[in-house]
Amino acid sequence: MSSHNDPMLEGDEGAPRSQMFLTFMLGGESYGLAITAVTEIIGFQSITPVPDVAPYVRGIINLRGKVVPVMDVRERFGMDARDYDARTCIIVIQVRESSVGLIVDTVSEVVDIDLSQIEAPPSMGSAAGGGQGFMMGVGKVEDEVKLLLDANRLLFDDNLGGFDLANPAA
Amino acid sequence: MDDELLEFRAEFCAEAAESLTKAETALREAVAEPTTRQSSVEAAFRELHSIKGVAAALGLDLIRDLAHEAESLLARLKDPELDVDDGIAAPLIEAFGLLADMVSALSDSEELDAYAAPAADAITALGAVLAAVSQSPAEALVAKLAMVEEALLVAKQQRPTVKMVEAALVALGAVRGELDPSAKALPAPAEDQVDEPAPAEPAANEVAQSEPEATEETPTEEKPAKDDAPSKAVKEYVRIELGRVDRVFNLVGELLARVDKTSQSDASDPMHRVANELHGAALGLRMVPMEPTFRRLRRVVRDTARLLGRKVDLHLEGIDTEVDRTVAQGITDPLVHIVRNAIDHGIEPPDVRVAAGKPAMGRLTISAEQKAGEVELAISDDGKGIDPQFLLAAAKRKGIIPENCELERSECFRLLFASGFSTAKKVSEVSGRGVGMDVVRKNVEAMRGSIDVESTIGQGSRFTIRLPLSLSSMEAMFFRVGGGVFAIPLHSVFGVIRTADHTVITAHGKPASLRIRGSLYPFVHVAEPNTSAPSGLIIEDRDRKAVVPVDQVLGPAATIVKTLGSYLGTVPRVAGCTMMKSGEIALLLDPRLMMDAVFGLASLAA
Repeated sequence: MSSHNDPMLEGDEGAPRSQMFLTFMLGGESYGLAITAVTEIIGFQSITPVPDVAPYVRGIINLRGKVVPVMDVRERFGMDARDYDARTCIIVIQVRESSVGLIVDTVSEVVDIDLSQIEAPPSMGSAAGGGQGFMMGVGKVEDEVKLLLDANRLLFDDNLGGFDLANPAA
Repeated sequence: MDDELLEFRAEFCAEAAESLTKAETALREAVAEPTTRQSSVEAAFRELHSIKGVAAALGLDLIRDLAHEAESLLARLKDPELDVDDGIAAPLIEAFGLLADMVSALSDSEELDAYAAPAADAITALGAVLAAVSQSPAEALVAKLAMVEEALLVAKQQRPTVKMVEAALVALGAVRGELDPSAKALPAPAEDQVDEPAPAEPAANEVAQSEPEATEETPTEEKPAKDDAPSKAVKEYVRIELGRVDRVFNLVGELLARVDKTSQSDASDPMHRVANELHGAALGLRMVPMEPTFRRLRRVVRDTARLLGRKVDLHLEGIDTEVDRTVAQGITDPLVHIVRNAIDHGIEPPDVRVAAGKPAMGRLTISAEQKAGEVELAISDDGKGIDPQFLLAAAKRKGIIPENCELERSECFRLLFASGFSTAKKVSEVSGRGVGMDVVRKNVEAMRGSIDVESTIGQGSRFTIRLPLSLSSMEAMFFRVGGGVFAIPLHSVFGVIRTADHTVITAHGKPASLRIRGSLYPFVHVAEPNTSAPSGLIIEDRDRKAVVPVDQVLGPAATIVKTLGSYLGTVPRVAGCTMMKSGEIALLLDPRLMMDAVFGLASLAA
């Protein structure tokens, strides 16, 4: 999977020269999340709705006795809704103390992206699909483009999705 | 400072705080109950002695010195000839308070420098009392010998076979006999010392007498000390890190869920029974008595009353009532606030009370009682009371409620807990700390509890706090509606009815309430029912009742409550969730907030 020739992942100063991302699809686009934030990937399962929370929070699931809230990433990005199917996955990520499940169209693969191949995110209003504000960068793997998400902003940045988590009614 | 020392220090802080409250209680008993005075003083002495020892080991000189001085005075007070009155006890209690302040500062990693001057003053005060009740050098030596003797006696009770202890006691008795030939100083035979753990100054001949007894009893009796030592079974405790208890608790919860899932024949299955008992035992691990909280309140009452020049007679009831540790911790601050308020705004100054025909001494009662899955805490005073009309007017003036709003008496009292409502005009040292009753209410509600107040002008007020016994476990009624499973705390379920049997009253073309035997019960919707003639769960909260239309009542069950997690935080009307045997998640609803929405008091609760 690693595209460079150097067998060593670490540079001379001990700084990593590449980063691993879990990639997934939303619409026709490929997104990536730093693998360090990902706890596990599960198939779609029934969700218990919770009243009076942000609309992109679909509810909670029982993950082996643990309560995990799940977010529809399409809705978070303001993309069109799509019916859940057999390929729909829930990526469970952990940021700070919170575990949250992310509903995505389908999970693709884990890629190792050289840091030199990661660029700053495009400015708002580009044609790069939803969720620009949640991006940490754009990664290039061969001739493909992965939209790399900032997990922290995805969960906690209330100003981006148009919904205020603390005050969902607003 | 290295970690080990820090840990040691943290342990000291926790223990010392406990010791100090014990010492204070003992000293107050010593003043109040002269018959058991010696054992009470002895108890206080032991606590101070251990504080001094550990403080010295930790290099906490300020604490060590003050504890030493208090200990010295207590040692002197063990003399049965001395009366322990308020004049003697006051500087000691003052010193305990100062020590407690230092210990709490220490646990907050503060420097103790600021306490140097007050500690010096306290030491001087203690020294003055000590000098006043003091004795000649010979007497002092006798007293010290008595202490040694006492330690030896305890050692003898614990290890009756060690001959050295026996021999040392006899030798000591002889030395003391020479030093202090007056029989007067020796206590009369033990009649009035039944509760004495070890006689403070046993006569030499007593020691001699006890010798043959001891040897006779040793072979058969495991604890020969039992007869003359305190026979009250002493509870033993271990200190366990809370995280470990929680881990056991969570594992037991999971086990219970799995057993529930696998066992076919519910309650009769031995596995099921054992799992349930295990769950009960695990719950017990987290339960603590209210006593330490109450002890702290006693100090708050004393300090506040003195500061404000009030006379307060405090009554504590139900101090053994057990609650979840988290509840006990979380309720302390709200209780302190209410107690301070009761003295500041409730109980009048003595002259005002006398003028009003009341006794100068105000009465404050704090009680704890278990009631139907909840613990009820009540703080009542016989002070001037609260005027509901005054509350109503103030709320209108502050724009909390509209000008033309009319409220019932009980609703007026609830205004006291509304955000932005504080009747105190001037900021006083006692009540006006910027924390209002709304914060008290929020703290109580964060623990799924509720608070109410009832008052009669001129006669006093009563604050009632109801809290779940445990934050993590409860009895709940489960039901299905609109495809989801929900639960409501069982104690707020009044009954189940068939909605088809009763008349539906509509408002604006929509069903609004149900008429049941002449009373109207408003509908509270959890979700839209799938069935056309749903059952109705009648829920109640305080004096309010409402009907929740449900598709199917599943029945009551004990359940482990889980939070929705930090990501969702607090969700309106949802108190948490719980896992069903099937793996489904049931949302646990908060009946009070559901009713607030219907009864139009949501604005108050916001």
